[in-house]
Amino acid sequence: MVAEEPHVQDPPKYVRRILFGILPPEKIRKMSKVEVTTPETYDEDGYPIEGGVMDTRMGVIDPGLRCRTCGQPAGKCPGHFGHIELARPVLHPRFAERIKDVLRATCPECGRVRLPEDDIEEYRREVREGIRPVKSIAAEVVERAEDRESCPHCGAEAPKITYQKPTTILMDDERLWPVDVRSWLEKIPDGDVEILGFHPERARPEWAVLTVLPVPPVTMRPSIILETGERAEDDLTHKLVDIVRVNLRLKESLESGAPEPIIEDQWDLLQYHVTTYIDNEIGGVPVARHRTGGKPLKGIVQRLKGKEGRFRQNLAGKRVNFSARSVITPDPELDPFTLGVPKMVAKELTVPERVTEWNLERLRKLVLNGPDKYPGANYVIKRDGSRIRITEENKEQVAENLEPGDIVERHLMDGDPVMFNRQPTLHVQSELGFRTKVMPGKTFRLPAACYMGVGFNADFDGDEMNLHVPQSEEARAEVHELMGAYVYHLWPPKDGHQDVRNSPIHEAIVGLHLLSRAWIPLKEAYQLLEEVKKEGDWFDPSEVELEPEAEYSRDFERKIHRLEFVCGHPSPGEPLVTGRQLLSVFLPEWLDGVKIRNQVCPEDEEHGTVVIKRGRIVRGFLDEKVVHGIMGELVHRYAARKVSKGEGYPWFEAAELALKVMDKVGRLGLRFVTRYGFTLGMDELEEIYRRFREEAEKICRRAIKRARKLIREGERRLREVEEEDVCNRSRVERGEMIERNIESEVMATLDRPRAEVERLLEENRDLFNPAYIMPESGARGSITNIARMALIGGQQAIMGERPHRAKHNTEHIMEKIVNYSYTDRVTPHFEKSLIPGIKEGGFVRHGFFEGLDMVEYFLHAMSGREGLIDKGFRTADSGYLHRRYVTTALDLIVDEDGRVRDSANNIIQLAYGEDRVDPAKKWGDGMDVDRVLDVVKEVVLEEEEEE
Amino acid sequence: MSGLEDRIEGLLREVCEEEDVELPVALEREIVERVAEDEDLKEADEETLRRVLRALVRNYKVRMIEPGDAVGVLAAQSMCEPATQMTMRTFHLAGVAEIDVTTGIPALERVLSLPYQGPPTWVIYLRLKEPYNRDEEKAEAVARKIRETRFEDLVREIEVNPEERVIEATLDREEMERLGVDEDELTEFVREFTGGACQVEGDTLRVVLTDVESISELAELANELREAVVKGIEGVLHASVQYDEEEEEYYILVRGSPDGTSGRPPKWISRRARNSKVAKRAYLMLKLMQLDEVDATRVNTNDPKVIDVLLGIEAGRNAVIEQLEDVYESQGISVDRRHFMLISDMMAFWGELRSVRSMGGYSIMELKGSPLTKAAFEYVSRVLTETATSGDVEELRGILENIIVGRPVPVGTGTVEVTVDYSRFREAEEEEE
Ligand SMILES: [Mg+2]
Ligand SMILES: [Zn+2]
Ligand SMILES: [Zn+2]
Repeated sequence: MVAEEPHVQDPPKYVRRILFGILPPEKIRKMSKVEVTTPETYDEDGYPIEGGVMDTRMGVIDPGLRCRTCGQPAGKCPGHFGHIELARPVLHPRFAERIKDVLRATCPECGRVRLPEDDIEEYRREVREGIRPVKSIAAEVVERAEDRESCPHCGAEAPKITYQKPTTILMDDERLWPVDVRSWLEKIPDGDVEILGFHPERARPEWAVLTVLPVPPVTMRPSIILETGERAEDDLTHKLVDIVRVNLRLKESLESGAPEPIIEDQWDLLQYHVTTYIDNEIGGVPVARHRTGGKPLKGIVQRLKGKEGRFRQNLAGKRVNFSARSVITPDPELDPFTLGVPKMVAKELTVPERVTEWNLERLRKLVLNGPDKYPGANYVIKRDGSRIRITEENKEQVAENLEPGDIVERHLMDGDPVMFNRQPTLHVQSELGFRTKVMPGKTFRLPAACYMGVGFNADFDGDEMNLHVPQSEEARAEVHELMGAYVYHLWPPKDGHQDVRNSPIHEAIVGLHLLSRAWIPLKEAYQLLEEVKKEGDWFDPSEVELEPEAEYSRDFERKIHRLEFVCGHPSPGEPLVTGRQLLSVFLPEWLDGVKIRNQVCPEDEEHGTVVIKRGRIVRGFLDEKVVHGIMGELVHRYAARKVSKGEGYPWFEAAELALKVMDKVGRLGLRFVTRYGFTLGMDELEEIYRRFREEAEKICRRAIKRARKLIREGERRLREVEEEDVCNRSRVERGEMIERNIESEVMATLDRPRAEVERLLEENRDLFNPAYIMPESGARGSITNIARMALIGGQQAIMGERPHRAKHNTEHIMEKIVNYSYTDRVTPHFEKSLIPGIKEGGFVRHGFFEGLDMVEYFLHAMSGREGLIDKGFRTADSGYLHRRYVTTALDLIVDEDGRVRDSANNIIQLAYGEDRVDPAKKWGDGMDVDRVLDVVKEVVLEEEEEE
Repeated sequence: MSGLEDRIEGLLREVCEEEDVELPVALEREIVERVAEDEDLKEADEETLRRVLRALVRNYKVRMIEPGDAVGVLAAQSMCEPATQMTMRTFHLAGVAEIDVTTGIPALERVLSLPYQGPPTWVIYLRLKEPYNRDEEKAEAVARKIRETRFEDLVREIEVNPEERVIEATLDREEMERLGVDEDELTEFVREFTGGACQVEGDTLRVVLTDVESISELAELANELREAVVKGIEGVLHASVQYDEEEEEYYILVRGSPDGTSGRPPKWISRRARNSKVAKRAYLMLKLMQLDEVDATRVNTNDPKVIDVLLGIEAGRNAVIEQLEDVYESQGISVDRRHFMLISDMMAFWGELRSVRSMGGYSIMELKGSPLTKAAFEYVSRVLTETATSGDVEELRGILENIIVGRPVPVGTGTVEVTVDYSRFREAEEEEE
């Protein structure tokens, strides 16, 4: 069979550009399908009245009716505009202020801008050349022209124009009615219109005075049927009815020659209705309200405005199909890049697949399964575009008729690429590509060994996430290639390899750390490897040959490194391997000459630095820093090798390889802690407590003594200043300064004990105590946490200061505090003092192990609450910053030459980042010449040898 | 040695040409040096060297940013996502009342939004020339000289005697001593300021103002006198000597008034600043920089707009980068410098620093042409009215505009088209048959 060019749908209508302007009356009439002349809406039968605002020529919304313009039923008819011929013109409220400016700048006699011809010419040139915004030119023209007392063109005197919000204009204190405004504006020549900030072709100023009002299509303001069976009209319809009614009345008055004041009243009323129809939040007129309930009506401007307005809600943000949302749970058995999708979701979300002669049978089977049996299919789209819903009844027949060229919308299946997202979507890593794995249950399952949740900032305490299924081959390819196994998600663009993501975390790190210190009986080592293996894995433990490095003996533990230990209960003579050997199983052989200093015991000569030679960890204890480091080396060395060999684009493979390896390494760590156990309980804290209590007490006592002295001294000095009889600026300041300096010294003094205890703990590290292992290996927490739990809470701070109450003598806040019931002490339980005491000031002497006393507990809770509130504000602030910043920088894009341009094609940078290096792919600061050169040499020499 | 380097450089240029890459100058230099000094490559022949260089160049090539990458969004996200974790810490500087330097989101806002009213605490770091930076006493003398000292700082009380047309003030000898103002200096100042006769008896300073006609005029004059700056530069609210341990020198930390200094700033400042507050702050900084004791080349401030106005756009750009780095570093968050560079280049593009605020002032948004993007950002109705009157055209070149009208966005894979050459398919199939 010869390949046919695929059936391409007619390309959709393409918006090339959008011209903004003001509609001239002729155009409004031309695009109108009906003139609305009557305020009546429906007849007794509920049928729209001809010439009313619901006239069926403007479109239909009721099922069963057909549009009298295009003949289509509701849902198909796009809607058509109508118009109202206004009996007298009115001002468009949004343009009134601009019109006022134009009137002030122009001559009522000849319509020219009241500036000399030369100046006008000069401004015109500026406008045409676009050197500066038209807005600022117009502002300047108005400013200069309105100061002139007479017209330089005809000599007529300049009248005084005043403006009252929103639509009233006075000339020499007499009302200037829109008719006069309009005829004035018509006189202004095009060349002058230009420099006044209007556009001679698209926005003549007189068009801002409405003589004809467009009536939007019925489809744009559909009515809804209430439960009571009543019809509730859209706000715009209500307003339009008002306009038509008043317009009709005005017309009758004009025809019958009614007295001028009555006509003027009706004219003003018409202006009011048009004004509030367009903008119902405009100042200067009462807000138009619903006849029932009194709720303000929504004008056209209100429809567009704000977060819920048309722009932000419907235009800049779109709704999507083929998406699902559910709670997430972790799954350590999943491969990285695989997402567990519940079967019930998979049955609902479908993938369109085009039938060919090669997949016909497979798809036919899916169709036969129908919509309820997984894996099945929900719809078939025939070549003619008709869509058939597959049901239990018709599935056999649909399967029978299936032919190449049809599209089957089949259930989501294993391996399908999907997008997975968690809100807030703050960065690229918040939306990742995954491969589907359909599973039972109702939650989405995130692979947990190489923790894929880091970039999402997700945990599993009820977090929900969203799934999107791409619907075209192009989109599927992009999800798979660009959003999935890609370096961006290992090393975010934020800071590249300095900021490793998606590597083993928490308990896996503890496991890896301990494993690297362990001697394991050979038998148990193989059992561990067996546990790491998954079903259908690339890794086969039976191919691994571990060479025992030692035999167990009674005094074995005395012969090994002080931080090493033996696992399990080996009998003498039993062969042992090291954990490092076990880890090396997963490292590729080309990983060579890697040296990474750890942070758990960097001073240790033998094991402070991890050394990897030819894919073997020769020595060194692992911790978080080392694991990240190895991951970095894996990607960058692999990439460098591949590139040096001239094998093309390396990143997908490099990232995939790193994840494949680290997934295994992480699992090994997990299996190890699971098997041999790891707990942090009260016992561990008690051990630390007993060992260091006395020393900690001593530190506290010393600090308290020093602080007491400072406080006494401070009080004395403050009192001295206070007793001085003058109160000039520098005295007040001096008092404040003394107080602040004393406070900050006291603060620093009392903050020191915790730091000192921490140092004490650091200096006497016991890497066999889990309370140390957890923070020191970088798994979780810090020494501060341990110190707080075991020994000392430390100084609490509120807004960076010790908790305190207002001072009665602080002059400038004096007035504010008279109403307070107490001053000069933190709680009423303490005596008044100029400077709060030690306990009163939030010094928590006890650790959580011993327990806090009441005062300590209260003040500790105070600083805890501050933290919570602070966090709330921070999220709001940074959210707004984010929105503003992203919108401003949105259009900065790299062009083919590595320059950065914005959407107006301005060159923002001649070379991105000056060296054109992608931060996500940098090694070192850009390209680490030393390290790359090492790899390059290796490859080149290898190649030359081969030759 | 240099002969070898020349040879390598020549080879490298050739390789670059073959590979169609232009290396950054610094990288080219580094490669040449490293390869030249590499022991293993000492004996290498030209072919081997060429291979090594080609591999190096290709390694650079795959690390390059790709056409179509939305680097603006990457920069924004990289900077704003970690902002959620920022804490706001206020640093009080030892020995100085009233100077707090904020960090975190407010600091970020200060740099990105360029508020007219300046940073919450506007500080100037005044570096001194030799020997003033070596000696604390000498630095202190400079600080005293510039700190604004008002009349009220030097007296205990001011009394107005309306009948005799006299203003009396009790001198605060201690403060005068501390602030370095002597009696003669003070009387001379008062004489000039008020235009009346002035003399000191004991601790009382008497000003006789026979010319003053009304009592209210006298009271007003007394008030003016109270706030009159006797000494120093107006606007220097605080000046304290600090020690910089890294540079091993003393410098003066100045807290400036957000309203700047008195007097009319030079025209070139006003023109660049476009806002009188900014201009006055810049003028204050200029006054300080022009002092003989001050090393103007090293003076710094935490208001980037002032730097832009005073020293030009390049300095302004660098100040933004530097201050952004400070903000993140103080929070212990690592962010690649390229992001800061991009954002400051964007802010500097129009020849003066412009802000990422939504509208008004120095806003970038104001200058961007696209009406739809502006409308979707903030102030919808204002934007639509303005674009309608001027008959603007939406060219639909940006991202948001295209999302709005429902077209593919011109970024990333949206910048290229992929089509299949079906003739190749047919050829292949024919071959098969
Ligand atoms: Mg959660
Ligand atoms: Zn229709
Ligand atoms: Zn005229």
